Amino acid sequence: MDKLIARINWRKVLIPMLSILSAFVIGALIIIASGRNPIEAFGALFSGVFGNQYYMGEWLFRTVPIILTGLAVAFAFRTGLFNIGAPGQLAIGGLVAVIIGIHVELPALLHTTLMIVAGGAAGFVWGFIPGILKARYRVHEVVVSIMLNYTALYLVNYWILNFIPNPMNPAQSMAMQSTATLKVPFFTEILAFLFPNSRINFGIFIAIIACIVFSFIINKTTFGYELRAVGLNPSGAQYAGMKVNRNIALSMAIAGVFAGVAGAIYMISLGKIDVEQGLTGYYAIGFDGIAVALLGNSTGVGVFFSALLLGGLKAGAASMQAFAQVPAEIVEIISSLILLFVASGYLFERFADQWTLKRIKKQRQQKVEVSK
Amino acid sequence: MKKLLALTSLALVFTLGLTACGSSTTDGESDLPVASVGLVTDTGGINDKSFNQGSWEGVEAFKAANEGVKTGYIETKQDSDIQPNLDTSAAQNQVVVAPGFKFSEGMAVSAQANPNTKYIILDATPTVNEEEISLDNVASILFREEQAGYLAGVVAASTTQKDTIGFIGGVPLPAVMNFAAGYIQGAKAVNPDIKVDVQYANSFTDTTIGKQKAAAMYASGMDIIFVAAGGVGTGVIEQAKELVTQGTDAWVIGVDRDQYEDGLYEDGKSVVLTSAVKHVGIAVNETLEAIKEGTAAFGQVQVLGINEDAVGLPTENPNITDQAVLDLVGKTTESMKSGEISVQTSTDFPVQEAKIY
Repeated sequence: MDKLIARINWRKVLIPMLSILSAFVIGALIIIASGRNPIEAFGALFSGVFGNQYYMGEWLFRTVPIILTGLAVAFAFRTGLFNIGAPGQLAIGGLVAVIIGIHVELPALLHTTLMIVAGGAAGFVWGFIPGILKARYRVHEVVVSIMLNYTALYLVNYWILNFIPNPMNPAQSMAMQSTATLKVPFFTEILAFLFPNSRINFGIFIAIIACIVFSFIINKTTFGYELRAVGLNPSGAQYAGMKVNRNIALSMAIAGVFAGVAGAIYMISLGKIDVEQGLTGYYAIGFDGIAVALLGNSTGVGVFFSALLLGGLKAGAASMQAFAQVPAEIVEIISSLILLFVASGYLFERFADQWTLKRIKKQRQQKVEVSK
Repeated sequence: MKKLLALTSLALVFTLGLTACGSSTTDGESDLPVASVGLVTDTGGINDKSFNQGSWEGVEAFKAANEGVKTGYIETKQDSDIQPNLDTSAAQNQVVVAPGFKFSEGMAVSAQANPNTKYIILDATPTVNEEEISLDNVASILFREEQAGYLAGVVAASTTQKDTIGFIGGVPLPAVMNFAAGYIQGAKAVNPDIKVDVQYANSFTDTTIGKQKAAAMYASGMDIIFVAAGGVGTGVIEQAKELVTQGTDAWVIGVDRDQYEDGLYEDGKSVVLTSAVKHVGIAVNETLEAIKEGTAAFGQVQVLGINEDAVGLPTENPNITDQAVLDLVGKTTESMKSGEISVQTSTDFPVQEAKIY
């Protein structure tokens, strides 16, 4: 146990922890300033997550796609790339999954598997485009993937409205085959027992597996080692004989797979895909991935727990508004503050380093003086 | 190790503190039949100047008239949150109000899971797998939009200087198409030769699309557009204001509530000719009163129209200056109430396609 504790890099854990704490404190001050009771508000928030098994199930349900988009952003981060295209990759993955869910007829387990694989493949393509453009022509991946977010938005909307409109409401897709479901026997019974009535499904296991796969690729494979090397120092990696361009393109594409799978799982869970008017609604899950990746320091475990936190904040927001009359936006403020503190936390870390360095120097000088 | 201990104890204290408070927020059951009312908005939010806001005003009116009633709302941020939000509201309130068609599926799930909670749903009925179902803790309220649309059509056809008038709808849903159907029938009743250009924005929020569609319509020589598309209407009104300040004639007919104020531009004039109004708040308030009295029609679909004073034009229409038009509106209203004029809904008068009728 002591060994384990000794292995934890305290700085890496302490900065997010302190950021979360400070964000809640400032959130509380804002609630006080608006004339409401922060203890009541956070109590309601808390009970909206842990209050009963239903709430806990909904919390996990909400966390699943955030974990996956978090991994999508984190994977690119490790190669020194900023994948802001997760929303588009998610939407395209979701659309492809829904199309297969509507038009293809297959036995239940096979059908869902095909939908998830195809969603991941679509995400791969959507991530590969900015990846290859960066690798070949040095076009910045942020510019391309932002544009691809809008391309995805309008493509998805066009497809829904023209090819798969719901007769009851043209702004959403028609119903999928009944075989397109994540209600996997045995697991469904367990989840229904643990979290009755909530929408939690097999997706949570896929998300956990994805975290393990992520950590394995990054930490245990040569490919992952190369990705990290490219991220830390592209020129150095090139000098060491690594194929930098290939790694950049593949990194973005694999990041896209995580987001595409997120989209597929999310749309299968909801049974449909909606027309959105902007990068809101399910597209926001892609942006949540950025926050989660930053907070989780781009590690598999970190992303998992950060997503649980963000998912919890979002899940509890409704209860906070219903029971304590505090606007749900306060949750947005808190999660933004966490992000701000984490980002600037690394700045503080630098100051702290310099300070320690100075102190050590001083101590040495004193020692020298004493010995004199 | 010290740090770890300090951190864990801090986290523990924090957590315990929160749980302790969490349990204190749940109230005991009250004796009043309608002691607390919750509202769940769609993604438009509580201040949408339209459906959500109107319904909330109805809830607040009920609170004002009944001492001791508690109210609260949840704003939905994503469509997929609708059902859990209904559940959360149901956990706290005896009555949950849900304004809008987007709630039909989530309502069916939530109402079945919470049989002891009463639900009011506006503009929709609980739906499972695209089929409407009846639940005995849900009261559905629909409105005769076609009647309000008919009056709007009468005003438009008797005011316009052109041979074509415009209609911009949101998503082609029954509530929107009913407005269009009534609008066309009303206009043709005044002038059988008049043409009505029907367009859909496929959105209730995209102001840009509203502005673009309105610009195209006004440019093609129309001077009146009836817009039944929620937030899209803001874009239409904006375009009309721009044109009017440049000296071109451009009128807008608003929807759901009296939008005269929204159409105000520089010298206190408004581009909003009139509005096809749905008195959502009144309907909500009356249904809440009915639940209190034990007379509410649960498991049924209630359709409110001009006879119930639930739809129509605003009482004040400063922009309709011609007394003859006002008289015609009054006469038409009376004929509708007496059944002399019956307006067809979009089921019998299909207007699903965007084209000139």
